[in-house]
Amino acid sequence: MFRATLHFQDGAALTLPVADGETVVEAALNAELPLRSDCMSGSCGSCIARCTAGEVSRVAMDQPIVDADEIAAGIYPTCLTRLRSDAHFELDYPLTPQPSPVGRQRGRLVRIDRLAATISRLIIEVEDPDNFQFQPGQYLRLRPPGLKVARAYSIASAPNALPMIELLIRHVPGGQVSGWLDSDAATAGAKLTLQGPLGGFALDDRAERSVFIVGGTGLAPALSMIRASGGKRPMLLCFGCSRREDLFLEDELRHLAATTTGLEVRIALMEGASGSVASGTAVALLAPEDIAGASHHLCGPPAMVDAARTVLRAAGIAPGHIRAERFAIGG
Amino acid sequence: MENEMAEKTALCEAASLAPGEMARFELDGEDPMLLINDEGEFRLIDDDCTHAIASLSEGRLEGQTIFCPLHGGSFNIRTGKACSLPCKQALRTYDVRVDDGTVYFLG
Repeated sequence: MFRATLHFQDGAALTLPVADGETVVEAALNAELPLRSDCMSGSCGSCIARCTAGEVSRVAMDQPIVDADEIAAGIYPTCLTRLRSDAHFELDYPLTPQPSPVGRQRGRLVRIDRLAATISRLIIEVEDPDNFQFQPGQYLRLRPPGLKVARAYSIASAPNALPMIELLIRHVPGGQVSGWLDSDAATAGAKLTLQGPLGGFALDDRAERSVFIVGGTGLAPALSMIRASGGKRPMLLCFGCSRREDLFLEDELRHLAATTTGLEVRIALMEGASGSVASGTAVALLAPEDIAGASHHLCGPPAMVDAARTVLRAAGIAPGHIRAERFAIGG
Repeated sequence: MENEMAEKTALCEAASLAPGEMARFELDGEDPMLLINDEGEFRLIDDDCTHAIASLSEGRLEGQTIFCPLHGGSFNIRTGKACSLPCKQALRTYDVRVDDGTVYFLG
């Protein structure tokens, strides 16, 4: 039996006993401590923490969600981590304010807007908002009526918009939720099942300025953090999409920049850029002075996140100052 | 004459589910339910796992334990209680009765 101490972003710390053979997440579930978790198999990223002291044993993965540099820095899913001694773990979210415990909710589809050829925005009213207090950056699972499966989507709205929540969904050929979105059943009033709030992706408020480098629907968690921040700290949003027909919310983002103190928005397209939209990747929108001294938040398809991370690391940013929410391609 | 029995909804013929088999039902206005033939006795529980959104009907039944297909947690089908992590919250259990070879949900 060893002890794991969890160190939260706001300086709080909790200690829990971890039995032999038990993973850190299992121990936290048994002790009912607020260590975030979801898939229990290392593939969702919710339970990732950085081990700063102690001996641990890690279950290897064929396709780790963290890269070799992160593993070398002690960053790994805690659902795949067991202790060989007392150990300390650093988490990328504060202890307080604590989001509601993960639970099941009913939601009602209020509105659905097709923002681009492959992007829909859903506004959903949650039935019991008091039990759905989420932290900006978190996600939920959505099951439309008639489906047996649920899919994960980051919440794009701020907590103060509850009971309304906003989701940005990318249409995936052959996808089950995509099929529902294209059907007649996806109309106002549709009853949805939700599970959440989930995940440990949170704003790093320790640096001077917060930078968001996002691709496609990876915009969602960044938008939640930007909206919730309400102009209280300097922020830079670098938003990239593939082609002109994939670009969405451009007007809304420009308006947000114009009306939010300290917020700068830059937009890039891989193809078809013109005017105020630059050509290239989201990470290429960064100037050298934007990189040092900032906290970086990456979100989007894995290849986009990996490429952005490579650029930041080459510029000397340590793994601890880069947070990533990695989207899997759904279906 | 008033029928004093609780409202009952027919689910299926008892003979259609052999011991160890299960079937999912989604009635109007109800969350999905899972009917299980537990060694000749019928059990009716929530079909939705309480941990994440998953249908237990797609899981594995071993004796009195049902394993969720999504993350491998489990529940006792007689009490609804969670047996293994990540499941913690119990499933609801519902009353069933077999009348004349038909299984009824008493709701």
